[in-house]
Amino acid sequence: MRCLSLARCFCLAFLFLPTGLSADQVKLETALANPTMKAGEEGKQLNYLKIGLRGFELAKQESKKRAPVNVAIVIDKSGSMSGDKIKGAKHAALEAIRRLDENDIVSIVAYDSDVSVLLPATKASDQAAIRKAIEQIEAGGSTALFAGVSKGAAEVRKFKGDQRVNRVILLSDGLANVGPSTPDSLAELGSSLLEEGITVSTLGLGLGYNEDLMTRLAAASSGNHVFIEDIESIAAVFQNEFDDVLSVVAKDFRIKVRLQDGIRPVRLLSSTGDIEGQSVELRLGQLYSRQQRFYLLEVEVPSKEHGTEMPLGTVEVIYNNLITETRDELSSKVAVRFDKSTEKVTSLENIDVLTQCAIMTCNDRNRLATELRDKGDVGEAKKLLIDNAMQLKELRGRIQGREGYGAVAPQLEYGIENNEKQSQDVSGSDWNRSRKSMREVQNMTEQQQSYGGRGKVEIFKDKK
Amino acid sequence: MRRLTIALMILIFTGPLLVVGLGWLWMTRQQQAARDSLTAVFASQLREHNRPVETLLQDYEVRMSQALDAKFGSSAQNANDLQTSVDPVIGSFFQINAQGRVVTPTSGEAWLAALLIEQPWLVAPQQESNSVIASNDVQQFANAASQQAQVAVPFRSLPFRTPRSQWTSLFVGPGVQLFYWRQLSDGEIQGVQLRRGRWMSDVIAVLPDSSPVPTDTSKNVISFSRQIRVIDAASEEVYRWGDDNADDWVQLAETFMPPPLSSWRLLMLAPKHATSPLTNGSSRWAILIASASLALALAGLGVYVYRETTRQTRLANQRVSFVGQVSHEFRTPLTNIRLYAELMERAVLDEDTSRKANVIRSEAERLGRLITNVLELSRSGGQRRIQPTTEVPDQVIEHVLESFSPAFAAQQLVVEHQADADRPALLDRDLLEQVLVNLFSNVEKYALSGKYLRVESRQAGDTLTVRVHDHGPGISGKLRTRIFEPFVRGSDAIDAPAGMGIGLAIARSLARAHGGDLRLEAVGQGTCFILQVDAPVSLDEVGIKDHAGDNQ
Repeated sequence: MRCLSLARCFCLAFLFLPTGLSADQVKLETALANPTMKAGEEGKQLNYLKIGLRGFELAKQESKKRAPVNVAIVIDKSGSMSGDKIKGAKHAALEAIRRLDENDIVSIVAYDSDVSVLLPATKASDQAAIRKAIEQIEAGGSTALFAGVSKGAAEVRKFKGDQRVNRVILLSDGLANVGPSTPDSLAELGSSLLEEGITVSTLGLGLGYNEDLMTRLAAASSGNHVFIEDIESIAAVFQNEFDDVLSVVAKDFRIKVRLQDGIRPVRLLSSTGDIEGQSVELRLGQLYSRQQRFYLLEVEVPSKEHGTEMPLGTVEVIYNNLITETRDELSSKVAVRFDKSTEKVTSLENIDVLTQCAIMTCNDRNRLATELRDKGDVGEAKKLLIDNAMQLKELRGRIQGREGYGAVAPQLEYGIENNEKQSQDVSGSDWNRSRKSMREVQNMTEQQQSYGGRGKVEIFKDKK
Repeated sequence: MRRLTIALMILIFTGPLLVVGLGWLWMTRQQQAARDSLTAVFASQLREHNRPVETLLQDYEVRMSQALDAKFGSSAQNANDLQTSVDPVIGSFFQINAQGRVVTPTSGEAWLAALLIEQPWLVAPQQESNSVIASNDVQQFANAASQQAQVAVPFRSLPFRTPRSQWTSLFVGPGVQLFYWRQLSDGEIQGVQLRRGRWMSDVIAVLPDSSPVPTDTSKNVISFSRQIRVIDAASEEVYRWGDDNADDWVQLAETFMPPPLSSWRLLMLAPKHATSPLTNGSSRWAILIASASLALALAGLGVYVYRETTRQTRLANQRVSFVGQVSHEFRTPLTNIRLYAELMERAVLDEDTSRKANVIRSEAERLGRLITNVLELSRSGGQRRIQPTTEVPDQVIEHVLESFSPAFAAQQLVVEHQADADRPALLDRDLLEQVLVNLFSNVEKYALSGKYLRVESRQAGDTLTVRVHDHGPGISGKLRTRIFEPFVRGSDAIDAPAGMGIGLAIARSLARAHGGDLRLEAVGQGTCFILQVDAPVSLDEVGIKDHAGDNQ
């Protein structure tokens, strides 16, 4: 299977793409925060392994522009959605679907206390049927969110393909109050859908939805989560979501890190994966055009003699390339050097990885701040967020002007700005609103999402 | 009149009430039957909805078995684990070796703990083994469970030679968790824990949704809105579909979901207002209308009967009062006739004239008695007031007998009076006389042929008993029971003696008014009446004297 697809890939490249294989190939970058570690230290030292993936750019002039999509739009039509919300949502969905063509599949599901599959999975070219389905949505009733997502996923499943972008877009403004409603059960559903290659993006509308449930569902299935505070921006959010959907270049990533004996995996920074023994397994739903996606693994490394190089481990990636329509594999070896000079160790540190480690560590602590605030401990939460901003600023001061700083500066600034703002918000009067915003940013950071409720945030994208 | 009204009311109301009651009973029976049959229909429809879930669970079984092969099978070891995909419904695998040692997972999970508590024999070693070493928290737990298992269910120590597999469902944490596991012939147990969030989603996905479907009228026999709900083990609603247009729902049917999900149920509901066709409003109206019209008819009939009866009663009363007044008017001339007949008798003209005057007097006396009876009858209904005076009963009897003696003597009737009531007692003399006159008049009219009359009187305590026994033709058996009813006579033949048939009725009612009774006694020959009245023996000697003096 592996040989076959590689061969096919090669053939394709040879016959049709003389410019080279690498243009339509996801890049795997592995790097350490400290590629050189202090030699001869007592005990073990911590280091951070970055597993970075870069999505290639969709070549616009080619006849085959993008991968076909298979999308289910699941709209909450509970009573709270009535009025402008449902109107805005219908309009936004209709406008967004216009961008699809006859290769794409779309289905429309609306739910309140029960679920109606208004448009079973259909070719997106059947605009009349889509319009009819969307227009019949009327608000009223409770919120059977779990069932809505289940039915949406079932519609997507009908035409699910390895070479298709399979996505459920859930728009809700309310708490799930019929059927399973715990964040855990939704997260469980999300991760099982990811296993099948289905991603769920959750768009939270207004101030009434359960942000924990919505972010966890999105995160578990590698989807986007957006907090739409302003009804006016529903249309823009739908467009941004479709920008993402239509720019998927690769999907169904399975990443395996195998560490050498003696190297202990400690934890993943601000993301989830299975750590078992010496190996760590990660799953990623998809990679968008020009997206930088990275995971950071904290490892414990025993110190060695000065001048030695020690293999740390290997990273293997397997994914479906939607442009070449192959199942591709990538792999990389990671090694670490040891030097007795502290100056040399410091001067060789990877600014890029260091910054991202700081951002992700702060993201974990940001979550902790939300929990503290939930318990009513406003002071501690505030302190933690201020401390986050301080640490990021301190890092900024330390690395400013060094080579490669320019590339990570936007990410760093974004982190500082958010933590500072949130440190104000936790003691503010509108905690409900602030909490939703906080959850959104946490998820955006973890997922390295390209946009949020207030527009595009392209800090995790390669420049054109 | 009041009794009549009450009787009529009962008649009018019992009918319709009976109709309503029976109708109601019939209707509820019908409804129950209809409901039962509908429930059966609905239950079978519900079971139809269980089919896709059944298929899903069967599919799971196949998939889980494949997943277990892939995970634990011999070919599984060499495969590139990035290439093999895991079934999305699988949460975790677990593996317990023949020694009862948990191999997978290596960390303690709540679901595993629950599973081992529920089925401790899973970790009971199949072979005796001392090599079980507690290496982690799961194992400690498993050891504790296995010890318990050896005491309670030494199930696993039985030799198993054939692999078996089964589902287990347990209530853990948020709800029911599903486990599928199998036991190999060497005793090893391999299983999976299914992702609850996922299988719930799959169950929902295979069930229908509420999207409006084009209605097929030919297929839909019962077409009213319905809703079906999926209820979990904790009685929480998981999912619903169907109509959603009511606030009040009535349960039509219920069924359990197929195992291993049998702790979940499907409910079929209908809006409360929509189930009224089921209870058949029209038959309820029919019963109400039927009973109302019956009530109306009976009421009309009742009013007619009431008016007719009151009219007749009024007429009868008028007649009686007319007779009473006329009779009263007869008295004065009759008294004069008697008086002048007596004067004529005393004047002693000649034998023949004297005899004729005697006849006039006795006939006038007879007419007088008749009038007294008629008057007595006309005022019946109103109770006669008793005016007791102190009298010697035998004297009263003698007095009455004396007045009859000319008539009796003329027919050679032998009169025997066995007098044994000579103590003065309190009684209404006029009343007693009238009763006796009526009895003796009957003898005079009907029993002269017997030629014999025996009158016995006696006092026992406060009761005076007079027995009047003649040797006449007697009263036939048929008549004996009715003889005391007014206007009943022994014979209505033309040659029968004159009379109105009221004598005995009056006599009895007078006797009863006096605290006693008048009965007919069965005797061998003739007729025998027993008169009993309440006559307390008086000790007032002065009274006796006074009255005695008056009477004589």
